[in-house]
Amino acid sequence: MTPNDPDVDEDEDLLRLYRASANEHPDATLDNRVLRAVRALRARELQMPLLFAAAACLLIALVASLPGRRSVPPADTRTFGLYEGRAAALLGDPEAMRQMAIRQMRGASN
Amino acid sequence: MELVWGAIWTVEQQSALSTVKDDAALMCRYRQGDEQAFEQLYRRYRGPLYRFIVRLMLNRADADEVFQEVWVAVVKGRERYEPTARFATLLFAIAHRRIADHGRRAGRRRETEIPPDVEDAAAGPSVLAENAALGEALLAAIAMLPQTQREVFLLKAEGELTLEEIADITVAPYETVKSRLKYANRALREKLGSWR
Repeated sequence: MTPNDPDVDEDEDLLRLYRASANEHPDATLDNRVLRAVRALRARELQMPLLFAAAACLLIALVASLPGRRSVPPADTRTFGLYEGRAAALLGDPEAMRQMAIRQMRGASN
Repeated sequence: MELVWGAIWTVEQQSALSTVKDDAALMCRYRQGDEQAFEQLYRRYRGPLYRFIVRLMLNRADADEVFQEVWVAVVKGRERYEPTARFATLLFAIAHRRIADHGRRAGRRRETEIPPDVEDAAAGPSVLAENAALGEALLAAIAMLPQTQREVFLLKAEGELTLEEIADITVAPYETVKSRLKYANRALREKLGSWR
């Protein structure tokens, strides 16, 4: 009898006999299996934050590389020379006319 | 004589208390990443836990599976472990739940399932006499107990748990646990008595 269970019908002889007779243990294969499973679980838990961080970095890189709305700077109309060219044509300035033609060939418009 | 028993009891109590503290310390160390601490706990409890599971389930393959599940559950739940609770209580409580889950999953929970080798040994005095050992007779008789009684006996014998702790683990009232142990002990004594 133990002090915790004062009136329980315990049988110390039975317990002693049982403990002397029952001596099974897990075999080495099972021991290895359990310890391997536990280590693998632990390793996964430790690697998880790193995996999350790597996944987050990859996601950020992916999003950054996607073509988004381009911010096109407003055209610098000062270099177009169209109005100057027209004005030059009116004034009969051949050099100004030539410059205007060159700029239009390069793709300048307006 | 009483003095001697008193001294033995005190030594046993102190030893049990230091084991409890030691287990808690090991579990705390494991939580902090000390793998060796877990292996110490494993070495300490692998035998009692294994015998509890095997003798309750009466099937070695199922017992192996549950045994592994229990340790994995200990690792998964280590953050929830309170150092005030006995490690053995936690371990056997997990085992109790896993065995119940396994029984539900398998859809077969036979109260008096007996493995073939045990059935022969428990058949009667003449067969038992051939097998000789009283210990074997006891193990055979334990296998024949109803599962609820067998569980209480094994928790007491292998887990060295108090009736209060067994009541907590099995989610049964204290008085029920007490009667189960009483009936188990009586049945075992009867079996052994008929053998002797």
